[in-house]
Amino acid sequence: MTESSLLSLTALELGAAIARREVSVLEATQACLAQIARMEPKINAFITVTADAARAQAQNVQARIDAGTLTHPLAGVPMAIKDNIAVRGVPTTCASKMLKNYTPVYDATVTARLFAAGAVCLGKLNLDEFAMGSSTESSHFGVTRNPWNENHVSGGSSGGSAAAVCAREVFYALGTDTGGSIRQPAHFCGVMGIKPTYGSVSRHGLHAYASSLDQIGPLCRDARDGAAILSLLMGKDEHDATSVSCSPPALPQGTRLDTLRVGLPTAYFESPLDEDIRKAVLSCADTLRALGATVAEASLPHLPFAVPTYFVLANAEASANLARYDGIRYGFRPKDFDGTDDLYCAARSEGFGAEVKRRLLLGTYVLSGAQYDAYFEKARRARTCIARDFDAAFAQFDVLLTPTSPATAYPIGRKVADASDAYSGDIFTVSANLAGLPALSFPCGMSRDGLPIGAQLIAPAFGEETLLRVAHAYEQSRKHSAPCPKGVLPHDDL
Amino acid sequence: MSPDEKTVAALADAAKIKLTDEETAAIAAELSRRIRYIDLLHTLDTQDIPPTTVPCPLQNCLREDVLTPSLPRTDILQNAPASEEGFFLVPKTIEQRSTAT
Repeated sequence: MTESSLLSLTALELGAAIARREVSVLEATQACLAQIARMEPKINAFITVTADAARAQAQNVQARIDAGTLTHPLAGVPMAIKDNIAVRGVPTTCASKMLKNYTPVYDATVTARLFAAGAVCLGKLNLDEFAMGSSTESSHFGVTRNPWNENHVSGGSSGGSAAAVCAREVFYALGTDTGGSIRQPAHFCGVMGIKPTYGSVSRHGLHAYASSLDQIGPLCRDARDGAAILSLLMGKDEHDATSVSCSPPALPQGTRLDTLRVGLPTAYFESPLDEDIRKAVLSCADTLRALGATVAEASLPHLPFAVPTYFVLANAEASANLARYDGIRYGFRPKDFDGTDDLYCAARSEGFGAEVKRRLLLGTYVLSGAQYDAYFEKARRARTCIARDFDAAFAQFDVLLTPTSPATAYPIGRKVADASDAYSGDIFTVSANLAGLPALSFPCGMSRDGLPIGAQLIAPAFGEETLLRVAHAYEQSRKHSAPCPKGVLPHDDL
Repeated sequence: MSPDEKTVAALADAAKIKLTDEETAAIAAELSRRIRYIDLLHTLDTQDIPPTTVPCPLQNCLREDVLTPSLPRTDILQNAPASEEGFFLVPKTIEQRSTAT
């Protein structure tokens, strides 16, 4: 098998090839490490590459496969993890100076579950500092460039995860999604990104941003890979009191969508939207119709309030969650300080970047004095209105189909004119977080300037299987899943 | 109401973040822009709408109180910026003047 053909496999295809002994775990790992060496100078998806640990893990996994004790379909498949999720013994920086030298002494539950199934971890992936952003431009370790066009961002905050999967450096990656941070970079990079139902995946070992919104999920090549990865991640964990028991999705099969009812929320198409994206998503709706689904207009009248609601709640929760970084037990501690209070202030002032500080101050503001009722309480009530919109829509529809984001990947360094612009890219994704619903972004076309376009599917709580079934049927009709940028695959033999 | 510089200074004090005068002025302007944006919420009538805290019907999660091993103290302290004899080392909290450790 050539290196290019190996790297072109899906995670499940590679897992099957490993099980058939057509390729060894170490060969697959070496091929990915070589691809990382080729691509990283161009895209900077990784904060830490753990090459030696990955080779050792590969040999260990191979031995367990050979002994017959490891039979999971993803055993031996190389992957990587967003750098706000704990991997024991590997720095977990949250792309912040604050945690530059922090090395967790335990695995996150998701990490442990993947390792138990034989995943081989190649390292930690870039993000916006503490996952606060949509482009990875606020990372302490530099921006991740988009493999489709290196002058453009890869999206965020899981930009490193999306770029690494797109650039064939890994077969899948873990990301986190607080307001669209898995789905938007998946759209920008032309891969699949899945935000599971709130509570379905443990957050134990995730550095919390906004606890009522955060979810961990996969970025991957296609719907079958997504189902296989989710089946490992989902389920109750005694270390996360918000996690619940739930059935993992079955591997999607079939090419027809007869009886499926798809809603197209009109509000999503009436707000500012790139014309190429509009065409691609409406064309996707036509394809679903051709596969047997009925497609009709849906109403989500509170969409205009989604981003302001998110903005208040996410920042308020962040201001509480990030209070833990005080320079005492772990994280950055300045050399010079005068007493405990000064230590806290100096550690946080020097350890946090500008955007994190702005968000913490805004969060502190909306929780303070009279602002609590005016903003925080108001947003909690607006959140109920948004969730009720979905309840009403799902009385009529099985899934909703929307654009993932109003625009394709934008140039690095684009000046943001005002705050509403900075968050307007989140308008189509934040509602699923506010309502706790599963949502998925999958590639559905390319723009005229050669950048990927994703469409988003949203389902009722615990409707992951429906999302994956629809995405899989669509992939089958198109005869491909994640597109690959030119120049990404090597041409030499393994 | 938008935060003025005095309010931003008080917020920074509460959040334990030091700001220079220039940063305070810049952040007051930036927060005012962001607040004007979220003021859209005030056009929504929520009088009879209950608040949502978490987006799932969570009940109290109770479990048996079982003794399980803790993480090794020496491992935990490897991440501490300063430690001594198995404890986190912090500045003296009674005397205001102390030296860096």
